[in-house]
Amino acid sequence: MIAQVIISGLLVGGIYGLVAIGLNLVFGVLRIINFAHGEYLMVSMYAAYWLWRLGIDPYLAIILVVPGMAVLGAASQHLLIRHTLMSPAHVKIFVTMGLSIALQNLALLLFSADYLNVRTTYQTDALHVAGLSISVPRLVAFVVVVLTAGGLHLFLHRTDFGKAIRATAQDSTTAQLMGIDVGRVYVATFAIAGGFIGLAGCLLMPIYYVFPTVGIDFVVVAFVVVVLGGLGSLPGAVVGGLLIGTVEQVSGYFVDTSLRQVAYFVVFITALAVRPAGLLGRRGAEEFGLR
Amino acid sequence: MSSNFWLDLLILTLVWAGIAGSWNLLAGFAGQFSLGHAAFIGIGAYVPALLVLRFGIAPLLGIVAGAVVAGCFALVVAAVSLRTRGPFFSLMTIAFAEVTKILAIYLKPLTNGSEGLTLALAPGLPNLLFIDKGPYLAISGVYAFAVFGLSFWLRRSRLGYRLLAVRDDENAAQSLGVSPFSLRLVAAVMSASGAAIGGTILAFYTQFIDPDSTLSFTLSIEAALIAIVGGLGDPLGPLFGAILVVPLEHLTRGWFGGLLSGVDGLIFGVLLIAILLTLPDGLVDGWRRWGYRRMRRRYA
Repeated sequence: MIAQVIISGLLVGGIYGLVAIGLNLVFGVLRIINFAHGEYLMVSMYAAYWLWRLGIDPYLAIILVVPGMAVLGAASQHLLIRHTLMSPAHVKIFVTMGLSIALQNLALLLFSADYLNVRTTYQTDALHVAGLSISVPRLVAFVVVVLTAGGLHLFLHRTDFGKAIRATAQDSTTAQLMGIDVGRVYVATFAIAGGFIGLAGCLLMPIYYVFPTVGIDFVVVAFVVVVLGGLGSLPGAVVGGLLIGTVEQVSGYFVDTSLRQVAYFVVFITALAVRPAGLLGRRGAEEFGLR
Repeated sequence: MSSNFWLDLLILTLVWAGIAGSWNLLAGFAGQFSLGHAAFIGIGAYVPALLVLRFGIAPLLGIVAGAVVAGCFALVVAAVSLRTRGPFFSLMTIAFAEVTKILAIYLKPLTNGSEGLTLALAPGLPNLLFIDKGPYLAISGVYAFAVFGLSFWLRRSRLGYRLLAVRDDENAAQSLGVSPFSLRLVAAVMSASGAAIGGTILAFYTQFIDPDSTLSFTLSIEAALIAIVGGLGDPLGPLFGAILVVPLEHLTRGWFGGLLSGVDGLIFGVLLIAILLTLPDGLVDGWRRWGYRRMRRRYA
């Protein structure tokens, strides 16, 4: 039984990791905590839902939703976030907060507060291995998370543009002096984050409901994951996601399901207070703050 | 729209001006952006209510107890959260507030969980319950006035100058013998107690308390928003912010709420972005600059 709980924890954790990757990337490069990140997830889930209503399977919708969300991410950087980069910290926090409020209410206006879900032939399928039951859509999500996170890691470390992104994250002024177009890096970072959240939305749609405030459920966990795994560390986001998913499921099994959120907030507070750099993060990353 | 509607709006504006003013003591003066003030508002609501419902202690005393409990809790929250900087302080305070809310739902025997508590008490000053809105207006006016008095005093006091010094340059202040950590703790306690009193007034005005209406994250945002829109660190900022934000929220909700739910929030979010991008230092600053320009034109 405990093995079953841990397996489902790991599978849930994969999704958390996927949501956290974009948040972590944007924080690492621009030092901005994007409070609207959860609303990007909400938008991509609605996109997957409406494409399903048009007869397109959520997994097939990935090829449409991912580019669409990348454009949305790039647009929000170019039209909005760009103008706050020189502003004090509170402006950065509350501009993304304003975007989050606006998107949530736009969804409420367009789609009402109903909980919507898709029906697919495979969504209740499960594999049975050694007495354990593994949900197929969750397994698919998990495998995709591991593959894409690995792909992003390779991109950041092996390609010139990936190296430019990492250089900007380390020191944007010096990167600019070395001839890197920092503005382009920022837009690309938001586009990548948008693409990942689009992927997360499509993978999540067969498992979960979509409603205007669905982003809040996931973004709060994503913050915990980012802080626990380490700021600016992609492997950290995945490991942190798996860990939080497991903690959540195990504490929900042993203690009380209504207290499982308390479990990850306690993990979050302890992690920040004891080791602010996170498990796999660079020491001192949290000291940069928002400036 | 009857006169009751406008009176209601005035009372809420004054209470929120006070709550945002309290938030401003920590954020504006000490430079620490709490997004967990809902916890203190909620404690201010729950402590006096539980004291009167479970132990029969008059809310007039309970309001003090609420402020004290919130102050003590702020000491714990701040002592842990102040180990982090910038946005991480904000995230820490969110986590503490969320834990408080979950516990308020979970501790059902004490708080009655998500069903909430109804304050059906005999009207009168000891119970802070009145049939007319007049006394509430007086109470909220005194509260807002007290918070602004405190802010103005702080701005001119030794404590206030030290806080501003720490906010603007921590290392320089420290080298002159100012202890940033203990100063910020003092600011956090004052800020939390102030917000708790506002929470008590709100709770006894609506006469109903549940975790959603007294402890939700939106309350933390509301407090911060009002102060930032008005002018961060300016004693008058939260009053300006409340005069704009609270009526705007209630009027748009009244106009669009029933038919097109979401329009009010959409307008609110877009307006928030617009104000932050055009007047990053808030309405008070914009008003002062405008006044200054006009004066210069007159005497040019």
